[in-house]
Amino acid sequence: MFVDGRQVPEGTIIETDLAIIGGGAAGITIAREFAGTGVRVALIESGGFDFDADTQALYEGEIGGVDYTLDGSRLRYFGGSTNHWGGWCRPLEKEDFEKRDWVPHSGWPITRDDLDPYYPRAAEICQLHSTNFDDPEGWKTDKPVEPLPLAGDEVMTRFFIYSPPTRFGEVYRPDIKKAENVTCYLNSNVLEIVPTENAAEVDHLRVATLQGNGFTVKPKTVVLATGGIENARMLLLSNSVATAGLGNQNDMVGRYFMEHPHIPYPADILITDEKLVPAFYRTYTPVEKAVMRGCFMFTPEYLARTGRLGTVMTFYPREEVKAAYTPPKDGDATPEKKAEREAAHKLDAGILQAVRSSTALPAKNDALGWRFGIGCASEQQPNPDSRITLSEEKDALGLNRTKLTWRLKGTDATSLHQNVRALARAWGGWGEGRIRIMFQDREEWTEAEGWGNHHMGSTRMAADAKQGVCDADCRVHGMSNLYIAGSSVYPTTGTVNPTLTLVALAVRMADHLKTRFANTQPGETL
Amino acid sequence: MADATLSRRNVLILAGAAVAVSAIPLAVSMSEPEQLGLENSLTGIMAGPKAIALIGHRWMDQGGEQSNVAALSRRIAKKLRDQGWTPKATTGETRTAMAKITRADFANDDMVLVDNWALSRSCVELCALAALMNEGGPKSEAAGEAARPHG
Ligand SMILES: Cc1cc2nc3c(=O)[nH]c(=O)nc-3n(C[C@H](O)[C@H](O)[C@H](O)COP(=O)(O)OP(=O)(O)OC[C@H]3O[C@@H](n4cnc5c(N)ncnc54)[C@H](O)[C@@H]3O)c2cc1C
Repeated sequence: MFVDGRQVPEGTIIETDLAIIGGGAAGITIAREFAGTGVRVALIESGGFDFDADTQALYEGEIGGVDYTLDGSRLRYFGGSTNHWGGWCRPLEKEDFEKRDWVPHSGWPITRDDLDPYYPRAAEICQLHSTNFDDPEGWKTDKPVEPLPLAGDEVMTRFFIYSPPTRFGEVYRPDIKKAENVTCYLNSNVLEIVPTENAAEVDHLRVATLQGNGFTVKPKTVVLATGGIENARMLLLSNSVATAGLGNQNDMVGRYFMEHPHIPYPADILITDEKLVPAFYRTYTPVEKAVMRGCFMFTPEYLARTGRLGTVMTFYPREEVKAAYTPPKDGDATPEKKAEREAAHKLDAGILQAVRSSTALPAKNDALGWRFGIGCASEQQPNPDSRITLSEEKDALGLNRTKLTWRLKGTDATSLHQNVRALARAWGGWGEGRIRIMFQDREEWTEAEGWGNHHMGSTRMAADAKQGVCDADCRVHGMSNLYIAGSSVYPTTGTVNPTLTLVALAVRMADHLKTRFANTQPGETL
Repeated sequence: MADATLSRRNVLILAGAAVAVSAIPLAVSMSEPEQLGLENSLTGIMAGPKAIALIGHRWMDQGGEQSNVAALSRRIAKKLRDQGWTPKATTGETRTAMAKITRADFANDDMVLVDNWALSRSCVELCALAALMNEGGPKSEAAGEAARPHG
């Protein structure tokens, strides 16, 4: 059921078994997993059912490092950022969970095997209609799904599967409405998670609306699910008892913030015949009930051998290249622009003729080939100096705003550059095309060409409390009943989009909490 | 009149070759017959000599190796010979050998960046050869060449 927090009388105390802070992908998933159980759930959501500018403004903040947008990269109303996500889904690789000697601070306290039982359910929740992420032969179609026969063992074809994209707030609203044991408080902002005196257990949550009324929630267990940036801010803001914030006894909260740098133009491809590129690589491709797309990733062997971070690449056709140059019909172009275009065409034609003079056959007519564009997203190395702290500025609720200091390393750029080079080897060795390496190596990487709106790492999981904020169950170190859901718990980011994995982790957490509730005596705190 | 030091045999060979390499200027006529056969073979696999000459020029302009026709063709020929190629090879056979050495370059990360295009060193050498052979011809007419028949 839904309750508008603005109607809750000032000073009300709500007792519940489980409080979930934040009704986004993670929070809604956990609440649904508990629907119909005997556990009383309070899902506390800052926004209503629609976008509201005043609520959204609570997400504004200060930027320190690489330029970024704090309020533009997430949404603060029921459904959270899934109200505008793109739906690209793929699990993390097995190796993403492992400690890699060449990636400082890598290694999860759980393995891919621990998460494997939960990915199918996550795929269902994200409405993927398939979990065939790796096997070309696993797609049952009239025309076989055949990966490009690129050379060598460095590059591999894998698949993204698209969520419609599931708007969690719309699709799962009826489930929350129907669930008698789940109450979702809308327009209700948690201001602080207040612990007991020894800061080892959550005592209550202070909640307020933008209209000014406030109430208290007294839960047995709390899941913090306010998104990849806000989770860290919420812990830092919860400082009335533990002055550094909850879970921050080792100064780990907010550190290791990571994104997936997205490069819109890391490389170009010239290929002799666009028909060589199967349709499933180029765009959203319906197969059976699912919608998938082929992408390039780098093999674990290559990454281990060369000490690189991962990159994922997709590509799409741009234009045909003919031997003779026909200027486009736009009379407005300056003579310099026209000359530039003609020169670019000659270069393309020259490259294609070089391909056709070495590894491919000469053209039968004027059509030399096609130019394709590539987009990519890359992993960044965990970096303690890339961090979320509290700004001096206050929001409309009187809370310190977020200060985000996102930092990338020169070595992140080197890794991406070298991966594009590996793609050039694979493509050139195949023989029907060549790669133009547009992303250059650099000593420092101070400006991001783009990002994925993927907020990861700032409340990282670690077995050792000195190395992270929460343990393998995502329970905050040193606290008995505070859990964290969402991509802020990722110690490393992998290469692909985070939501499928955070939904799998949310289902896993629900399982874990159900067991704990089942083993707890009435009245006992978890 | 041809160079007075050339033998009658050489002159005949050169005259014949001139048909096949009509686009190739003076430098070639100074070559030995075997050298000429080699250049003919290499010219034979150039899908668009003027277009690839542009790539060769770009490479040399950006500081890539400066060489001459004879040295470049000998270097390419050596790599081709390692693949079992002989100057008597057909264009198809030469093309196959060229493909092999190009692929080997990529496998060995022996790539050359020309305007950021990652090309195999051997292929760029072929482009440079086209550029040197084309020297004196209009470099800017690289595009627009008719397609050449399959070898
Ligand atoms: C434009 C865009 C495109 C994206 N595309 C993709 C994609 O293609 N694939 C992919 O995997 N991921 C994508 N993402 C990321 C994806 O949206 C997030 O990973 C996902 O929504 C995170 O889920 P979450 O539940 O952790 O956080 P959110 O979905 O952000 O939910 C957090 C919730 O907490 C609420 N909240 C915040 N603070 C408080 C508070 N103090 N009290 C109460 N409630 C609070 C918010 O209102 C919100 O509803 C995209 C993101 C954006 C912005």
